[in-house]
Amino acid sequence: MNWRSRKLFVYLQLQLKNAFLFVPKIFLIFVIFSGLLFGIGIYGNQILSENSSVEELSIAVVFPKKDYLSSMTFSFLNKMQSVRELLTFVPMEREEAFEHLKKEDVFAVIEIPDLFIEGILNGSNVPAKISLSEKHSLENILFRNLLDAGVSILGTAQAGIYAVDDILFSYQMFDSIPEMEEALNQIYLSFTLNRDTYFKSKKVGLTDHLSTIQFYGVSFCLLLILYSGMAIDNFFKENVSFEKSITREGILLFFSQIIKVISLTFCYWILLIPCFFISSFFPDIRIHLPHLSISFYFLLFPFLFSVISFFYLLHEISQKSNNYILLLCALSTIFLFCSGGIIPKQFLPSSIQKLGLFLPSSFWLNYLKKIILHTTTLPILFSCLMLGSCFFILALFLHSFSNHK
Amino acid sequence: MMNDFSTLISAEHISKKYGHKEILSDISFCIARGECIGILGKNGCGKSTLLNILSGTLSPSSGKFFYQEQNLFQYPKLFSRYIGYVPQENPLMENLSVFDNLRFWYAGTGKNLKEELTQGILEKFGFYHYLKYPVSKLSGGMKRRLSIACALAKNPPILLLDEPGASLDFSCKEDIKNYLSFYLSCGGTILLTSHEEGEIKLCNRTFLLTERTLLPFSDEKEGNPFNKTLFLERIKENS
Repeated sequence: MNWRSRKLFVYLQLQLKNAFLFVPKIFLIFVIFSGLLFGIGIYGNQILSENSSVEELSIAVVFPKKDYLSSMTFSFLNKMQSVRELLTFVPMEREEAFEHLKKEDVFAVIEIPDLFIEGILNGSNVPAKISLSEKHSLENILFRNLLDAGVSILGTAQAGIYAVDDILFSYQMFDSIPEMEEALNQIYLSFTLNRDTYFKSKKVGLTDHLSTIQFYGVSFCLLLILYSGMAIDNFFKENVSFEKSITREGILLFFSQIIKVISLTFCYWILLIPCFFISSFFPDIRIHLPHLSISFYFLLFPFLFSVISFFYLLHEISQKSNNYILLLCALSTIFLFCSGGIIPKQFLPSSIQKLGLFLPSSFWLNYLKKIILHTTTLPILFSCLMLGSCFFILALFLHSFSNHK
Repeated sequence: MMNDFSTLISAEHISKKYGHKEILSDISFCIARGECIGILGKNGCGKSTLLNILSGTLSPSSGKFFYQEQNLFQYPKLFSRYIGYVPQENPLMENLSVFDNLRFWYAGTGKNLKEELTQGILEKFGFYHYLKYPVSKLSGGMKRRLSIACALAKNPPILLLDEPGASLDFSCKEDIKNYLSFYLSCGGTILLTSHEEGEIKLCNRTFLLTERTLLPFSDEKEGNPFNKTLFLERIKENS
């Protein structure tokens, strides 16, 4: 091992030791904020459990001129108990309907084609055109899912009826066709109205395939890790004189800083292993982490690297310890809120939802969700490393700029 | 400037500019082995810049700096081998222990370092009982001692010190003076900047850095490296 490599190796060892010296402070922050975040989690869970926030869905229906049959059918649908609980069909002119859709007063516009009901009766089935709102509210999600359920079940019913028709034709049982169609229509109609059957296999939720506990578990962990950055305010605080001295020794700024970031990442990573190891013995926790395995731990490393690089960037932006803590606290909370980690994003105004898409917290939440669901792919892993690298390079640039100044 | 046999280091026409602003201009001098040279000057005259250049932490705009026959600006890796540097601000890792800091700068293994701390040049610093202390808990004087010890950990033939006794109490200054005397007695060569009379008295020769250039300053008639009256007169003349 040459002189420079030996120096780098000793520096790595010392920085690892330096990082592990922060463990008690990190642990203390974990304990303090666990209580706080646990409270937020429980409150959020209550919000999700309450149905009072779901409004009745208004759907604009545009009828062709003088199509009394269609208008009678929708007026009949409006009176049905199961429909009335969720939807109200409001007849409107086309321009008026789209204006309301734009203002988000209605969730969808259904444009009924000519001879719509006749088409259903004679089997030609001319489709109605449905335009949906761009808004990603809870009501909208419900309506989309209801529509998908309807289309899916109707399609299956029709395929079933046509298949039996074909069989009866091929066996020349022409007399049985009307009787069979009647029977199948009855069966399918009863089945269609029973939405439970559809939603047994298809999940409608605000938490993207995660259970509420998993969803808040992810937000909880992310916010806790972000807040724990407060404990390491001194870690990146560098003595300029020391930095210049180690540059003389052949350790360039890039190496000295990447060693620091990796050392701290490793320290966090090691800290998380016993946490997961202990949690795997508790069935209540284990049930929410069904894919807990060795790969789970390895996938956490790129995530931690990007978070630590983010800390480094904030440190370089703020320069002073107090400013760093303030900036970290404010940004962590705001970022997580805008990314839908505290309150599901569907409840947030659309402008905040759009802003959230560009925040690193959205990426981290998504990454952690994918780890839990075991759907992480190589490009996502690579993106996570790229995000961390971008933060690091930006921080390094600011670091060298401030040193130069 | 030709290097004669006794010359250990020599600087030739060193200049430093920041943009259009010239900080140092045409600095040249020679130092023989075992000499102690002091650089005097007003605050902000460029003493630290000069030492940063001579230690390899800052590049000059022009000039040459020889260690024996090797131009160190051409071989920057040699700086850390031949020159120990104690900047004004202590170059220490504050969160880590005294031993960790020494270990980083020491050239040998951890085991050899412990031997050095009990028998070698580092023994003089008396760190043996403080090895596990975090640097952040040390006093200013101890930190300064540690900085000097770190610079000497590789046993370099030349030691550059930027105001080694600044803002330290009398006893610390005396201790530091004693370490430097011991280093000189071991054959070391020192180049220091200082405003402390006690430290300057260690020097064989002094230079005055004024108007961006280095002028010989020692009161050769009296053999006194620091004549306060002469110093003030020269400063007045040049300002």
